[in-house]
Amino acid sequence: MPLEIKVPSLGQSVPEATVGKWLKQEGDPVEADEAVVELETDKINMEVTAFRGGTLARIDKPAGSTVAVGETLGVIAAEGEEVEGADEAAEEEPTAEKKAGKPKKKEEPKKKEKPSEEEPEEEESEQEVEEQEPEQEEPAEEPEAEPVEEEPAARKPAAEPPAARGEAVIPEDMRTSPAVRKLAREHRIDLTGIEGTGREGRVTKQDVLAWLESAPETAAAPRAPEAAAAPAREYGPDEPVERVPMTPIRKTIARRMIESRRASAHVTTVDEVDMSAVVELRERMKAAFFEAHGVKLTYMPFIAKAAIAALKEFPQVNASIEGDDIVYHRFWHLGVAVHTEAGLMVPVIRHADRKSIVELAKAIDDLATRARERKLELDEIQGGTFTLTNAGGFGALLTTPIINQPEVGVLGIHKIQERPIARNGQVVIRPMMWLGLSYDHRLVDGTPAVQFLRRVCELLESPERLLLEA
Amino acid sequence: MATITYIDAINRTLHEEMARDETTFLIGEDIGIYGGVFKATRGLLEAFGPERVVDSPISESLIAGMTVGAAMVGCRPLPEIQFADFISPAFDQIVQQLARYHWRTNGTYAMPVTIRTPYGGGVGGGVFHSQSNEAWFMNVPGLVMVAPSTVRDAAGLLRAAIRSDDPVLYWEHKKLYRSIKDDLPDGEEVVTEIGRAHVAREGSDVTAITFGFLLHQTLKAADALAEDGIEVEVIDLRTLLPLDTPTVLESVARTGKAVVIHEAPKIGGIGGEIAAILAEECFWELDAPIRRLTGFNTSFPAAKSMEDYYMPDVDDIADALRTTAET
Amino acid sequence: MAEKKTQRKKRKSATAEEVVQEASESQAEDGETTGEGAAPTGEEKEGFQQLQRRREEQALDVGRSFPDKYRLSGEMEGASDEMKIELLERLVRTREFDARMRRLFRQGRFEGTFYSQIGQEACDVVIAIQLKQTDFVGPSHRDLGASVGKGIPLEALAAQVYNRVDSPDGGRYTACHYWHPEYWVMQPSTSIMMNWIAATGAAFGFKMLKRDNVAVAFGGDGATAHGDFHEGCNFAGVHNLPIVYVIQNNLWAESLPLSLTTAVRDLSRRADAYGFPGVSIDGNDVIAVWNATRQALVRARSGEGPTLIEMKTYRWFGHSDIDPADYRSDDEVEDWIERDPLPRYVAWLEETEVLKEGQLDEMRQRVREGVEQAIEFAEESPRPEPDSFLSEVFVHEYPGFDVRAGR
Repeated sequence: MPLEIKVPSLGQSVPEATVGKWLKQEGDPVEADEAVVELETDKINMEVTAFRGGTLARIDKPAGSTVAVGETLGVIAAEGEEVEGADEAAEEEPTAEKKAGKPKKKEEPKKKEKPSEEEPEEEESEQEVEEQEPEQEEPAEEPEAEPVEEEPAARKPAAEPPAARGEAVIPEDMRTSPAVRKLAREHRIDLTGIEGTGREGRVTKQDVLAWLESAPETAAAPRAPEAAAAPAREYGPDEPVERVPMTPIRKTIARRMIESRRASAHVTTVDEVDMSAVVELRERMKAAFFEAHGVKLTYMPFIAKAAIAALKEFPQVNASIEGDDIVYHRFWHLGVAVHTEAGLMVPVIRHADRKSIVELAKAIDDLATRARERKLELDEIQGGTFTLTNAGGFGALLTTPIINQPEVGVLGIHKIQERPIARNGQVVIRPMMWLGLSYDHRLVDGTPAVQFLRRVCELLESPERLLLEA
Repeated sequence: MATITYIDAINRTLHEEMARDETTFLIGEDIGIYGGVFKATRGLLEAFGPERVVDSPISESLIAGMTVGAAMVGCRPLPEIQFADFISPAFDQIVQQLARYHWRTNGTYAMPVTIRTPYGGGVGGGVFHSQSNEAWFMNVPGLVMVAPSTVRDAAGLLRAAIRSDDPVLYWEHKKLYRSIKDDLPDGEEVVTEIGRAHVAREGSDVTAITFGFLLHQTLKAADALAEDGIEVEVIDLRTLLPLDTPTVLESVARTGKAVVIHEAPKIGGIGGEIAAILAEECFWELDAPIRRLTGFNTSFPAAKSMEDYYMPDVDDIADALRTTAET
Repeated sequence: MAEKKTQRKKRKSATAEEVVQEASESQAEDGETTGEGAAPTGEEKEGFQQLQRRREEQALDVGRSFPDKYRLSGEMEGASDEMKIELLERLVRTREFDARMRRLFRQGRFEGTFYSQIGQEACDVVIAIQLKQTDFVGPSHRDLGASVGKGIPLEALAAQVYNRVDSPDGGRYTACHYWHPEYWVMQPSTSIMMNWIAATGAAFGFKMLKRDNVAVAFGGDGATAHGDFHEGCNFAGVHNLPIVYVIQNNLWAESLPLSLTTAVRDLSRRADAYGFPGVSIDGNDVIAVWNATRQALVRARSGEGPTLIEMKTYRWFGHSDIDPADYRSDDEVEDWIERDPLPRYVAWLEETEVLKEGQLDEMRQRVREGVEQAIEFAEESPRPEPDSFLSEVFVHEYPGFDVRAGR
């Protein structure tokens, strides 16, 4: 890897220097420890030498430039190494940091925030945190969907305006303490109706409390706590708890889950599919498939294929809302939720509609593997138009996933389970699976949503029809 | 059962702890042969010998700084700085070395060192024998400071400090040495948990936060106000660093009103820190401005008339508490 | 001031080039480091030049008191051949590590700064190698040799310079302040002379706990002006503590010449005031340092009390590596580089046939490999988590303490 020549420390009071003479020019050979460039400051003039030998491939900071400590002055390439244009090379990590296996952002202490362990930078991007379940509650590790939907309701922030029956009245010209104002707001009290006993008739906290006690019926019920977070609960001595601060990634997940809940009008519809044909097909093909293609044949490529076919038929499910516009995507980038140790990731199969079952199988395998190894590029976790999330890996029968914004639909996949069902008046045992489609009711009406989901089921029940799909 | 003074409690605890732990040693000026200028260390030289009760030269930096090396090789040093006013030559060693060494070495070494030092006014000592200079140390990371106000805590906090693995600066109030007495059963190993304040009197109208000699003045003021129906909650801080914020917050959230009382000058004093914490974490519970009643921002005066004026007295404290309670 | 702007002549040590090659290259490199102070004018200039001359004379004069720059004579009392060779290896290791680190600093491989000890190694290594592992060392920020001499692995030292997690302090403490708990080398304070006092305390502890250990404290000529020098020595004298005080008089306290630090010629005379022996020796003479420190350690260990040893020596480079050290004259620096302790010792070992032919090359090769390994270790050691410094403020927990809340 090409070596960046860095501006060394120049003393505590010296944050920057001026580049003096370059002792080597681009293309010149450089030996290890050989002087390459001079730096000048008002305190010291110093030669910067090369950590390793090679060729001075590029000068980033010509003589006369002002440079900061740690900045890259130029690049030395070893034999046979390519050094690309200044822009790209500038993004290179310094060798030492690469070796240490640490992402660059960790070099900068984030004040106040407790940095999380080891997430790659992508994790801070929007795509990756779109849906997630409360970690550690379930040992889920495969692609999965979201059992969280009950929770936001329970701790819904009290963002709505107070009920009309009582309003806090705190006149501008009335001197009140923070404690009194807080009580007035919490209990929606009209302070002008309370007689003050404090200096110059000020209404004190005691006055408010006394008033509340004397007139509990007239006082409105206390409002929900202001913050989104559940109020700190009091625990008894026999109720041991462990309190840990949320990691930044967990905070982001929490925020984005709530945001998605708020942004979309979530509705979930459920349908059931008889997987007999797909199961039979897969059983028959899987050994040969693995031999031929080197990846396991799972149900995911079939479901992906079926979903894309249905999306083409119901374009409003492959759309998004931008302002007052509806944007119909005439391309089909399919997100596939993958659980990784660092958190939920949603790599995206770009142009999934152009892929065969084989290619989809390979793409899913590749993205899932690299997601777990944290080797995804940023553009591989962005830009999806619809998402699949598999909660079946650990046995979920039914979930109601949260939409990955700004998409309008997410399909929850579940466990295939042999169940007795009625066929032509007979009870038979069939491998059955429930599918849960969460959709944004702002854009997708109930009927097309149900029809969309039914179409997915039909395609899976007759997989040969998938062959006819492009 | 024996009724003993504050200084007796200190002396007795030193005897007990030095007998209990052979790695402890005393070092300080005039502490051995003379038994200490206040006689806090009387009898210890006779009991433990000159190797463990070291009369040091007038070298405060050495007294404080040598404990770092001694602690590293396994001792539990108990240095004394003869007057808190003489602690400044030791400041560098306490602040830069002793307090930080545990952090600096990433937790490798503990510094189980207890520095005792007499402080406080009201004893006619003038500028170099009267200061309450604890605030000099307030923003030193890694340092613990305790200031007992009662006989029981004089023993309990000293024992806890000696047994603690953190460096503790133990402030003993000169005016309390022989002015208060309490029953302390023989053989009872009183331990006062470091880091916990004590609610010395419960009340609902205003919280008074103080420590040391002024605790006793504040309690008297609270008694006086009770006759007028004002119930003062009095918090004895006991530990000055780190402050027992939960206890203070809990009380002020209840009363909505706080007055901090200390001898040291107001600017940069502990009262400012407490006021800031209350403003940050208790703002919506406050029902009156936070008040500080402190010594003046001057040096400590010598003449009796001046000293009396400098020190907050019972009337000053009662006035401050009443004003805040009635706001 | 025109002469101050001219670049320094390349310097080369006159003897045993191979040992000093690394460092000399390093020095030559440093030759291009120039600094420009404000140039005095008019009458002021006259006074300044006089002062400068006086400084130079003094530095050269100190050197002249040791007439033989290149040769050693006498015998290292009680030292086996193996010890002599091991001592050489640790001296070379100190030199090579230091020279390599200086270059890495200039290549921006680590932040902070670097305090080179090159030129003074004998003062540290020779006494440190004689210590037991449990003996206490209180070094300053320029005592790499004390750590290497006591046997601390270079990996730990390199990680310390790099401020990485494998540093004994996990990267939280100032770089280039070498220490290691297992080797009883305490962490030096940047604030001068704290180690002097702490080592005195350790010596007190050893005596009180009746342990058969000694303490060694290191300080520079400049540090002898600090009150703690006096407080420590005085107390050790009164209590007859098992300690050896080493002053490395390198003639310059950062930019301050010895003449402005003290009016006495030999700093060891100060010991008279404390009631224990003091001796001044050529700190670049390994034999002299060995014999003086050996006697002092025997005294300390047998309960006879402290010794103060002034070792006159010289640092080749600036106070730190961002100090061009242009307050010193070329003649002076050159004179002292010729007194390099390593080639003198090598020559003596060869004369006395302790060092065999080719042995030095082999040794240097081995040392260099070790240095490279240590650097690789440091380069690969992770950078500390940004918030990992928030721990270990206290040993115990306190209900009100919350490092993140700031209370």
